[in-house]
Amino acid sequence: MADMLSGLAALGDPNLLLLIVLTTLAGTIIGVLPGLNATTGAALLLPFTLTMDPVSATVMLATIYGSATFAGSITAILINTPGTSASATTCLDGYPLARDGQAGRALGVATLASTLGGFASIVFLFMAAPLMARLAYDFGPPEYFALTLFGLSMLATIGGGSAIKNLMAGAFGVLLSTVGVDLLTGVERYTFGTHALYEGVGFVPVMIGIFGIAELLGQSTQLHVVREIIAMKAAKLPDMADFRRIRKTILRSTGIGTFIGVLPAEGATIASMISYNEARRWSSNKANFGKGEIEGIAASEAANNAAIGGSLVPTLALGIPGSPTAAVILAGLLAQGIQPGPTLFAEQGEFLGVIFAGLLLANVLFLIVGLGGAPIFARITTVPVQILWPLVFLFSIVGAYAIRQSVSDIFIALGFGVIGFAMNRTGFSVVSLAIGLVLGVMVEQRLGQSIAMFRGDWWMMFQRPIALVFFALTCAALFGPALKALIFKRKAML
Amino acid sequence: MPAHNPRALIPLLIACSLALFAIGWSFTFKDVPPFLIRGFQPAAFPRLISGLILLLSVLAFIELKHHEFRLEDAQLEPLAPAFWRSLLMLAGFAALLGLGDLLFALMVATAGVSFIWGERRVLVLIGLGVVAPVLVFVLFDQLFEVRFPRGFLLDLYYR
Repeated sequence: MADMLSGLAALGDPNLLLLIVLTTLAGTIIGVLPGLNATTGAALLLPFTLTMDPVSATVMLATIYGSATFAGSITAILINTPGTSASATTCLDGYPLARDGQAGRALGVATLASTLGGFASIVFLFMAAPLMARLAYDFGPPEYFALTLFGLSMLATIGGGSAIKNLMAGAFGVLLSTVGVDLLTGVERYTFGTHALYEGVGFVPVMIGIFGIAELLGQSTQLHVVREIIAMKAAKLPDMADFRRIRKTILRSTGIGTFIGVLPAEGATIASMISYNEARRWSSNKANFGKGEIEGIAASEAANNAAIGGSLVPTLALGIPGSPTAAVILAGLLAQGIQPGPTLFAEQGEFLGVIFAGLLLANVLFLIVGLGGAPIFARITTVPVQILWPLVFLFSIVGAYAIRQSVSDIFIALGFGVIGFAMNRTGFSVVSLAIGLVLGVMVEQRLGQSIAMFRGDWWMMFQRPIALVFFALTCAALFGPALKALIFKRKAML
Repeated sequence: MPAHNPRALIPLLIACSLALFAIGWSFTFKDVPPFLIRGFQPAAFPRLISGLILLLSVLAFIELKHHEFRLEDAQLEPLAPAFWRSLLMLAGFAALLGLGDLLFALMVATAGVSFIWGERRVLVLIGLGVVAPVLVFVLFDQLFEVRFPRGFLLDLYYR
């Protein structure tokens, strides 16, 4: 509690306060711009954060995450195009409502649900902190290895594509992480005598490539898409009747969103889809879903914002990204020299307190931005792609260069832009690649430390209860879906 | 959606080739004396992961076979001419960057991408191709103290 209070006190710093306000506005703009999302936004802003102190950098990335996810609802409602994939289900009811002349009502519901969902999940994150801090002392290299392995196994369930392809992409990311001089032994691996590869393949150029430049190439295939934009005067908070209708949905969806967010590698998109389905299942207005039902908007928006706080739990507490954007935040933390994990909660409570407090403030700002600025932000959606994307390209290239001031990093970003586009097109998850790259170094180091700890008798890792639990969870994540399908098939045959 | 599309196998072949190359190249890594080993030799982990990629490729092949080597509709759609032109522009940017000046390469690429995507207003193209790159360079140079690689245009700036 003391950490949280000191975090709130730190918000008295006008510089930090200004940063949160500006980042909320920037995140909202990123969220409403066509094709840009929280992950791309965070990846593009990553180079800027390296000049900041760790607290400001983390608050900035986390605020971008929240505000861009929230802003995705503006485009979902007004132009039937989700600003982020997490708002895809918001389109289903938001757009019909907007076409019916009720855009302000739809945006009001989305804003309120986003704020409440986000707020509740940050409180949950704060409540989980002491538990994580206590766990810290039970974690040694074998436990960390098992945990990281579990995080990697969760890549199998990322998105809706093939689990095998997702795992392959993740393994490719892990293999990439072995490029460079091995820190433990000083041996060069896959450097091909190139000095630029001695320090390995940087997270930032790869992320800028797969999230920024790959998206530019993706956008070039959709230049013919025409979007109808619905005009809106002002967003308005739900009246008492509407609030009574959506309050249970917001509560349920916040719970679902937080829970899904906590699961490693799962994110806001899945949370909003499950919440939407649950809202329809429990609603007395089932028939109205998909035609302009405010419960549908509330479910989607409360869940996707609640997933943010949830996803930061495994990211900060375990060092396992809870979502694609959390993977970028994790890369930012590592670049700042901060090693996320249970010890972070035990030793740097004040640092986390500022982040929590910053996120709470950002959630309050969503309400102001959503209600007061939505009509202005809605106009930003009209920025032509032929102006927007060349600027994204410009920032991507300069950002990729700026981290290590290396021209090679520009070539890496360009190369991974093309690779990312090809992966997206052939059903391989670029998010898996990013998470594999970030976790690869940790998994190798922790495996090495564990084997050294047990003097080569790696079987002893299975005698550690916490590690055993994570190994069991890894097996369940990898083989559970296949076993389930097999059982259903057997039952159907009987 | 035609069955037995050999294109479905291309990503798997690329993955297998990469994994085999990684295993092969790992034999060039130096071994360290036993007292320096932290768990395993430097080549062991990349070999383990490459082996995993090969195993997953086999599983992906079985999965594809189960689905009769079908491709998704989106994968079958031909790529728009704008995509190929944009890709060419990126290649041109890389070539210009390799030959000379980062700022000049960016000026050509940002205005070029915009032009390829249909922008024809001269002022907008100048804004994107000249004003925006210069502003971004000045911002990074002054605010973040990023020093850009020398070239004929950047030399003018640094002078």
